[in-house]
Amino acid sequence: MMTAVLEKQATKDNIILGMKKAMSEYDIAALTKKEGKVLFDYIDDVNKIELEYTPTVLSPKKFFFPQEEVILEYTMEGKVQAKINYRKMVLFGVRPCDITGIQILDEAFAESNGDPNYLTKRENSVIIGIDCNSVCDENAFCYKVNSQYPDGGFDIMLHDLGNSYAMTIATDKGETFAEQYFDSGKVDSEAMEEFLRVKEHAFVKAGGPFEELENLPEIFAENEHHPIWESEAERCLSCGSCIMVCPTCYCFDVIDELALSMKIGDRLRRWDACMLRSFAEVAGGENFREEVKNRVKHRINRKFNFLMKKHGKSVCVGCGRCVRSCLADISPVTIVEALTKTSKQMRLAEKNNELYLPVKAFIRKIVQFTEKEKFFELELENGKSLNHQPGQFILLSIFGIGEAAISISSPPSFGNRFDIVVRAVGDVTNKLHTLEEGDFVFIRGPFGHGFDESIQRKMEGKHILFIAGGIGYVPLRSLINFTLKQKEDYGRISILYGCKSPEDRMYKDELDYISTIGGNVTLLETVDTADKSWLKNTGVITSLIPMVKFHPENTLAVVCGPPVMYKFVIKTLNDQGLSNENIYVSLERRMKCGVGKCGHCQLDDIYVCQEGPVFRFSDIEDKEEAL
Amino acid sequence: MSETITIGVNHITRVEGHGNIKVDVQNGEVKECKLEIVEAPRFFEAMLEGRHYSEAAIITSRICGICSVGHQLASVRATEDAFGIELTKQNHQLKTLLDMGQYFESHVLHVYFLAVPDFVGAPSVFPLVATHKDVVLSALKLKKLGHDIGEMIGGRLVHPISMIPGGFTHMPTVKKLEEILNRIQDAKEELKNGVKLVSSLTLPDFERETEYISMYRDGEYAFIDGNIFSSDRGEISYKDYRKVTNEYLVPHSTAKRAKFSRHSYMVGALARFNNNYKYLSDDAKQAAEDLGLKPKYYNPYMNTVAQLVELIHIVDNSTEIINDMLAKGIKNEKPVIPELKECAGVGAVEVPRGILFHEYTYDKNGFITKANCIIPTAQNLQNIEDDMNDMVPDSIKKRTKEELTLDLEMLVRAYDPCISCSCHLLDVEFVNE
Amino acid sequence: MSKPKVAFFDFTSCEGCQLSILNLETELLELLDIVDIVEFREAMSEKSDTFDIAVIEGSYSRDSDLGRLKEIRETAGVVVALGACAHIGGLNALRNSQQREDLLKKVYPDHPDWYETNEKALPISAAIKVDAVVPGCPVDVKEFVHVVKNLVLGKDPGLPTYPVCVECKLNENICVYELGKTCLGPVVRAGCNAVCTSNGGVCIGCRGLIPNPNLNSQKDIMQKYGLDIQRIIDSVNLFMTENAREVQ
Repeated sequence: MMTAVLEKQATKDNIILGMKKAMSEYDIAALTKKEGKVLFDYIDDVNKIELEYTPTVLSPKKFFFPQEEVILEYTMEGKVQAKINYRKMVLFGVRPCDITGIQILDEAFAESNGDPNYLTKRENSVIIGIDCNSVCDENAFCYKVNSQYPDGGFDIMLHDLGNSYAMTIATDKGETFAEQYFDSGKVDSEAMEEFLRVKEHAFVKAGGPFEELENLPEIFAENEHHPIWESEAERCLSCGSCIMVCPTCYCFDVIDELALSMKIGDRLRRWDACMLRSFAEVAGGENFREEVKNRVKHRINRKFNFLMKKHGKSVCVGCGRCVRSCLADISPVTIVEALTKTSKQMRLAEKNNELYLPVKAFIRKIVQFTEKEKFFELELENGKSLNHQPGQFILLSIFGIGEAAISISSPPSFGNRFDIVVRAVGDVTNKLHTLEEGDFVFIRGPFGHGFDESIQRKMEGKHILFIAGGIGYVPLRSLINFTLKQKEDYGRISILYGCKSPEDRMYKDELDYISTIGGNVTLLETVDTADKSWLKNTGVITSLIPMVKFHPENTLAVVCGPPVMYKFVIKTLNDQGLSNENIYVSLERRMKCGVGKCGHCQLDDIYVCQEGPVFRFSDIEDKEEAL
Repeated sequence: MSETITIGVNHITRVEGHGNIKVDVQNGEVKECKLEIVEAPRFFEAMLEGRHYSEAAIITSRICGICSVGHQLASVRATEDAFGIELTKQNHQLKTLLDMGQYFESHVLHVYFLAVPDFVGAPSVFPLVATHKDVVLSALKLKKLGHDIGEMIGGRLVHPISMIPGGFTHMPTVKKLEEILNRIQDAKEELKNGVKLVSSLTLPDFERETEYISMYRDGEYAFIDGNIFSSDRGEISYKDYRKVTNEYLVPHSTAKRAKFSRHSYMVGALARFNNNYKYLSDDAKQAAEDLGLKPKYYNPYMNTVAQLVELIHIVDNSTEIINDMLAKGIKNEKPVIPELKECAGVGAVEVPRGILFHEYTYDKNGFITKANCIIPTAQNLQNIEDDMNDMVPDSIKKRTKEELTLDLEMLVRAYDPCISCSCHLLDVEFVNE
Repeated sequence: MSKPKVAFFDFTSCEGCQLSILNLETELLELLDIVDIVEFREAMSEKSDTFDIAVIEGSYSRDSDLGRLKEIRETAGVVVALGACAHIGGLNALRNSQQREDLLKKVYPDHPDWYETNEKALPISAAIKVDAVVPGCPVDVKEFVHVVKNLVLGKDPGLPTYPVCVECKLNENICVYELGKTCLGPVVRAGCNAVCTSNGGVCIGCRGLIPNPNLNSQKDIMQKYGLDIQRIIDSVNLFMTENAREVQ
């Protein structure tokens, strides 16, 4: 149960000391080494706790749902009693993926018929997690199912700040425990922010969530007969390993064991696995899931379809254990991605009845940026995230007025909300400027080809030169913020921004902040005209370019601004030795449909709304209409 | 007893494997007196051909369940000898402990379960559950200790898992070693009761001097790693084992036989006792004295008694080894991976029933081209038959047929023969009945 | 109710399974509370003409054993195959790929004609009907007790149909493939509590295949981990000679 989240901090030594003290009241289970392997086990000495994570064969679910447990004891004379074994325990050092797993099991065992054996063990346990700020190995894919940010399933979460741990205390149980055993003080919020930044960077860099994570139940339902089921089944050994190691599998078998005396006995439950051939076999020998294909399908569907619908999130937590343990290299990732790809293709191939159907979005925040430009934060009514790339755009409608193409200015993975900055220059934008927070508009998109992963990859390690003129900062802002977040991935980041006057600058606070970052980040600004209070450069934007020292072979320029700006900027860049292969531009065109049909945005044979608006300049330099 | 008798015991019981005793006496003259081995031939040497070095011990272990540790030790030693792998001290200690676990299990099984019933007039240990429960429980406890020592080192005692050429894949924990150490101390008390029990029993009075062959290693009661020692000729290199064993076939046995300086020789507890007496622990020497056993002892029935003395020695020796390991700490030594080459090697090991030899020849890829295994019981068979031939002419004058039959069965059992190994033995058959 | 009579018999084998049963120690005495052991040559001299449950260790490798096997079958209500030799031919069957005459010449070069052996060493089910099986080389004694108990209870002694991997994972072992070794665990019947892999070994297949094993995939995996086809066949051959051909 989540209560108000408390944040505290204690030194690592103090935490370990606290665990030692807690041994008088609790059994402690933690990550530890035993006979050459790393596993979660009960410990008798806190010095045996391993703080660094190595993936374990089994998840800590075994403490609450053991491999085998007695549920009844009976005598042949007919006496019977229910049996629940539990220890008052602290489970220390569980990682986010496994915590998400425990959270799912908590729901599964609590729903409809509350399972006393599981729930009693849980009630008597305190869970102390240790947060991850990197992906543990190449098989883990927590970031694809967002399990690296658990919102429950723990009492205390520790975040590694070097010599100390910041603590997120999520429950009353956790608060009591921390008070009793840890000497905690105030959180070093700067260090904590840095931890979270490093964490976010690591997981974003690893690849981010599955493309259509929220739609997986529908995608799985659509792909009942996908050929991948057949091809994976061909390799599958039906060995059951994937199930044994899964932190969220909870099927079991019930077995009667009579003692050799033949007078007393136990009824016990033992982990079972739907991947095993006998799992669905009934007494008559009929097997309802005889084919390997159907078993593979059932297993994966439980994670991303059947149970995902029930729990409202992926029941696979991406811990990677099944991938590590599968000798036949069967991975949920491969399957999910193949099905997603097929579903997307099916949608493309099919008539899309919703092509022109916009969805409702509420205006959550408005900021007047300049005289003509306003900032809007929007939220889709359906609660989904926009899921866009930097550089993409949306079509915004106001019924009765019409639709207009608008760049998205917030970086990806910004949660459910996204930002736009709109200059009031046409009917739709003028009307938009009259709306207030809480009003709604309609949205289609995201559309177009932005700065996708392949461009992002090309940017890594390079000196990135952002050149923005006027409102051209808005389409680039998404990418700029994206790169600033992980600035150590790039050689240098230079942002060159020019406006007519200081009053026309967008995101003034943000620009001021960027100018203070330092390190490998430089911001140069210029305005055409200004009074004496303006201390930065004056003059056209091209005048800033020679002020940046760059090696043409190791530099990549990204340019966006009013049409007139491009020719001069590109010429100056070329003069400095930068080739057109290393220049990216975001083009502005008139767009009506956004889906490559209406023809307004066409540049020779190219639909800018589909293949653009972001282009590598060398790809379009020969086209007369390009600039 | 009449001057003309025939005795035929088919499938001698309380021995490992299948064998028969045949005696034919016509008018006081022994026409035939032999030990037939009727175990089905199993062709291990042929099955080993073409197999990878990593499989040799797995395969030869299955020659015999009771001696599986011994076969694995001899096999692994032969492979290590071939590839020139030297044993570290810890490896030597682990192998010796594993061997001792087997001695414990095997000697206790033989002394208490297979031999003692004869002396108390029971057909097996099972009726003793009612009449001598304390003895049976004590024996079970001792046997379990041997089993658990083996399990601690090898993963299990029948066909162990963890010993491979070059080392062990699994190390005992300190906790387990300490637990076993405590139990070994308790075992000593139990064994003292065993000494009392056995010293009260009367064994047939029969002596015949023979050649005694065992392993020898300066300074210790040798179990693994040593040369061959003959009571007739002294020390011989283990590499020259063929000069000692001189295997040959007889038509009534699927097991081969051996001879060296005389018509036959004896291996096993009594041979070790006779050759290595000076290296027994003090308490073992004391037990020998209490049991009336002194070197050189020529009564083969005393082999069982020598086994009991060895149990006491093993308690002392294993205590010493475990204490040393605990003091030095257990190193997580990874098994040495051999460099493959054309080579050959011999493994000689003292196992409960006597000295055991394995020899393999490897091709350059590590596959066996030739294998030879010489088993203690096979080496003893001719000696048993010679004992029988020596004993029967005299005995037929004094003993009834039933008594003689039992004497012969007990004689065969005293050697604790392992017929699966030798190939399988026991039933006494009196021809012309 | 009188206690069922149990008799032990052995044919071509190492007798390690019977020895493992003697290793039951105290449970052996408990077992005697529910059954009478009436014949067990390795441990007792008593013999019996009647018994309810015959427990047979060893393979069938000589015609001269057939008569005794048939007698046992006629006397016993239930025949239990004890261990790999009786269950699947066991390691004895390793010789089946060689000709009988060649074998005799190799091992008894001077007198190959003195010894009787069949062309092949086979499971006892090749000679008589078998009602229950305790697999393994050697058997897992807990499983033996489980089977006997269930026979006495009149319950199907049902063996696991899943492979060793399940038990290996339950023991939290690091997969031996990850350690650079190869293993038959994915296609071999569990019930041994993964004793070999838990002690630093690999599964060598002594318990026989699971129903419907994916041998193709097993072969591909072993190849991927560096074994050539001959070594793969060799490793299957060790205990499952009859299945080695399927791998080819």
